[in-house]
Amino acid sequence: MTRVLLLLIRLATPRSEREWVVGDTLEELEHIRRTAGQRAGSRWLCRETLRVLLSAPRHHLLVGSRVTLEAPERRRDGIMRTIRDDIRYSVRLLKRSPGFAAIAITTLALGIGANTAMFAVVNGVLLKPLPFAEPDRLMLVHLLAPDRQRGPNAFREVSWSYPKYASFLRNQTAFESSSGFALREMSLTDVTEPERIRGEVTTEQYLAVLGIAPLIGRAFTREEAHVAGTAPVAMIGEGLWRRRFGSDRAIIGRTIHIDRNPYTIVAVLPRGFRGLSGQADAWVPLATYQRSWLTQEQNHNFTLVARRRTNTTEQQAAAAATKIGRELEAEFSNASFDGRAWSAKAVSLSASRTEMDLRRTTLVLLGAVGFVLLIACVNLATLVSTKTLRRSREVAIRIALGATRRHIARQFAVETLVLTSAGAVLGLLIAMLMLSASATLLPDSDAFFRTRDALRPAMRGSAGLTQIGASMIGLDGTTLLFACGAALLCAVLIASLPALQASLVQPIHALKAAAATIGLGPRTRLDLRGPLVVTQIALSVVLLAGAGLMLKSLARLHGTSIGIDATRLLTARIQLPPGGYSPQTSHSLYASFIERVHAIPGVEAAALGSCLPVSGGCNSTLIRFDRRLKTFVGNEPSVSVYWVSPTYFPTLGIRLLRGRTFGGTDRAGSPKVAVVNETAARTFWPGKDPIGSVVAIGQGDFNDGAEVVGVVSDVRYGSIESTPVPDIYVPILQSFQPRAELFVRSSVPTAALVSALRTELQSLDSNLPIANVRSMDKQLDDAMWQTRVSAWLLSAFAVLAMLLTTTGLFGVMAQSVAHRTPEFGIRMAIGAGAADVLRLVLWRALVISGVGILVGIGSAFLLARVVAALLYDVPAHDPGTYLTVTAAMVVVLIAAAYLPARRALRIEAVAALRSE
Amino acid sequence: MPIALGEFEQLVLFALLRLGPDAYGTTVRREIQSRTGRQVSISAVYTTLERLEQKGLVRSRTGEPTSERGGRRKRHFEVLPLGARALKAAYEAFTQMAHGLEHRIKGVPR
Repeated sequence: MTRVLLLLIRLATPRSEREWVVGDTLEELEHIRRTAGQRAGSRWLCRETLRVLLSAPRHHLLVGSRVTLEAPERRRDGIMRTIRDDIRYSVRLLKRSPGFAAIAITTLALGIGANTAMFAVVNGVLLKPLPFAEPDRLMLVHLLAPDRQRGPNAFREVSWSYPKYASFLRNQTAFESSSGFALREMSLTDVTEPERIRGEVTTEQYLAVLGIAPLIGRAFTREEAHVAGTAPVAMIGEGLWRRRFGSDRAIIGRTIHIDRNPYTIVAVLPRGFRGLSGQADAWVPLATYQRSWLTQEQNHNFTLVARRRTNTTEQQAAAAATKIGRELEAEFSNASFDGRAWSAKAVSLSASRTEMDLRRTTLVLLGAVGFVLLIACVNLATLVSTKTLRRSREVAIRIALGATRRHIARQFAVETLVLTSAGAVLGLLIAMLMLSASATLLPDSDAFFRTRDALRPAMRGSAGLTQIGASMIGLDGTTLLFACGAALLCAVLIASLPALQASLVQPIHALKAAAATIGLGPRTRLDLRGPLVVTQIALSVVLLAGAGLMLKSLARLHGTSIGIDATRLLTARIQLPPGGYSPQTSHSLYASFIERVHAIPGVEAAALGSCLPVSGGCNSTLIRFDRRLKTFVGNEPSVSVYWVSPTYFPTLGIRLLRGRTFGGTDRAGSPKVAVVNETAARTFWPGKDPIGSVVAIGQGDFNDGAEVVGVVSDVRYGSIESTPVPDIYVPILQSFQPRAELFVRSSVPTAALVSALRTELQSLDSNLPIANVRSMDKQLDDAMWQTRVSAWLLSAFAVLAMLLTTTGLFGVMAQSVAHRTPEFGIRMAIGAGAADVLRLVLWRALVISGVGILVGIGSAFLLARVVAALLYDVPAHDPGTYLTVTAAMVVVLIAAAYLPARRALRIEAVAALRSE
Repeated sequence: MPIALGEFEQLVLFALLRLGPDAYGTTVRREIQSRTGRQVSISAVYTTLERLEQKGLVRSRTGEPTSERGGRRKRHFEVLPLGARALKAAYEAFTQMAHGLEHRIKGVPR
């Protein structure tokens, strides 16, 4: 303690006074300790420190400089004034060399701008707290069901059913409030053109849990959410309010028709709020929307969000969730249905926010763009150091006139800071441009944050959270701070090299030194140019390797067949309103619709299915092979199930391997049939023919068994990277499926086709809209978007890095040649040939390039692990990529060295000697 | 015309006069503290001493280091004739102004 206080006193005293002041203080301290005791001494020291600190500024002003003998009151100097002068001087200097200023500021602006934009993405998606009240207390509570496909002890997260949620509400104490929500497709049906929107079905506490207040109106009441029969009400989002109701202030009380049912609007929610799914435009209370859910114990629909109490930690909440899971098990005996006890778990909302891959991708890209900035800074450092050396005469004169080294260094630091600040300001503008440009270029929200692993439907919760995060991407306080930090870092990097020079060099040697060399004395010189370029080359190689791996991964994705023929295939979605159709009426609708679509001129094939390929997967259920059993025990294998119309397989181009596909005879009333894919055939009937076997599946009213009539080739419904799983197809005309995907293959232009489809559908039911119209090609593209964007960006960065590096190498070589021209002149005068000079010039370039590439490849090897998880079918140490990268770098570096080398060849001995 | 002295400058000069040529920061400060009761920081003392030296009223010399000062030297100050003259002028001005008012001053409650 004493030492700290003494240090403070030391620091507060001007250097010239330190010795006596500290000495006196020590002496006094000893005196007091001797006479009044240790404690009195410490007390006195504290007070003394305070006194010294308070009178320090005045002391400094009066004593700091001994230059003038004027009365102290006349001195107005201060640190601020000198910095202001330095800034003015720096600006004047920059104006004198506009070329250098332009290059430096532009480079910095691009580098800092790109980094800031990337950081804004990382911030929005990963770092920034979610826009809810006290978001760290919010948690998602999941039910855990046994996941037979992943192993005997694996669980997967499933949603809640209403009865189980009610039980949770009754028994839990760890959470102060909770709410369930479920994302649903809805149609607004009260206008001529039905509009497809997404809405959330929620309980009454939803807004309270999240801490969101309605813009106008009120939240749902308990009765509306839990009691069947209450008057239907709805909340709408600000976007919908603006779009459909013209921001009518008298909106409360007006009616909106959702799926042909009237709902009274009771609230408008704030702009930007799209629910926890990130996609909702309207909200309806549970009991109103679907009263049957209130009683179905095993109909799991809801995601549960809860706010834990302030005095409950996350671990306590998680433990409470597990306990709740056990109690639920006792009450609902899920085990009898599934064979194994269910459980529950609670995860904080921010932890559920992004999937691993997206997190990794954004961080990798941030690192990559940081590398580019580093490379740019090295170039700028060399540039600045050249300029500084040219000013060494000016510096020497200033030192002679009395400027201290510290002042020179400070002025130099200010110069660099002025440069980087200008670059940062411009960079912020560039970042804004980049962010708004990317917002328009990104794929639509459906595909945007899709998960890559189709077997984790619970991750859809995270997709919504990531979407919320994405809407938070923008320039805010944190991003601005990052930009300032980047500017500061650049300033330090750029200024450190010349500063090192200035501090070590004697003015006389400064006149003789070349750029980026540090004169340690009359003969020794520390040439940093070589190591700097080596660093640049190494960083570029790492970037190139990353880009190469990503590009190869992208190519592999493109080359992977997903099992269908996607050319000229258009998809659209039809959703039957709940309660609007019975199985029979839906069958006749579907059958008629397909007939009419076939009749549209230009249509080659059309079919209905229940799931889009590479969409993340759809329904899965259990499959049973023993005809004697009537119920599912729970340890049966899992299978993905798809409802398809008879023309499905030929329309999509799925190959029939054995048996037959569905025909017109397979409809309601006929014997139930099913078709399996080859993976199912291989898994469940190894070595045998599945045709003729009878299977029962847990959905679609196929509990009594259906006969397998055909085997088709595999299709990837999950993602391009996922391996095929056992699939079973059942005829849509033998089962009830309210949601169907339409597939149409034709050469008719999309707009015309879509309007024709719409006409046909609305002639059958005027309230049914066609939604999500998309070509299969685009669907495939969107499925690859993460890899594609990463590959693109990494390639752009790598190209930029290579450009900067070649500039760096070129500069180094040109300078080297210019510097050694006299030496070459002498050599040529005593008999060296052009080839010998060339060899001398190129040798240095070769060494630099060789070391750089080696270090780069080595680093790339080490860093490859980071990217490995993002690659598809490409090993992280893929030799082909590394070889290509090395070759590319060598070619580029040879090109960079070419011109200076040629110039060296043209040296004439006499002229060279004269240039000395 | 002798230089006008500030109030604290006068105190310091008195202390220097009393302590003699061996006066240094600590002793001056102790002297002021014991006679006037004012707790002043060492920087304030040195500030004033510096200013006095700049005005040519005192002069300084560096002294011997001692172990209890961590091997640091002392800086001794001595009043110069100019300083003595200035102090005398200040003293005379003070006493002239105060002449006859002693009782009144002493009667003022503390």
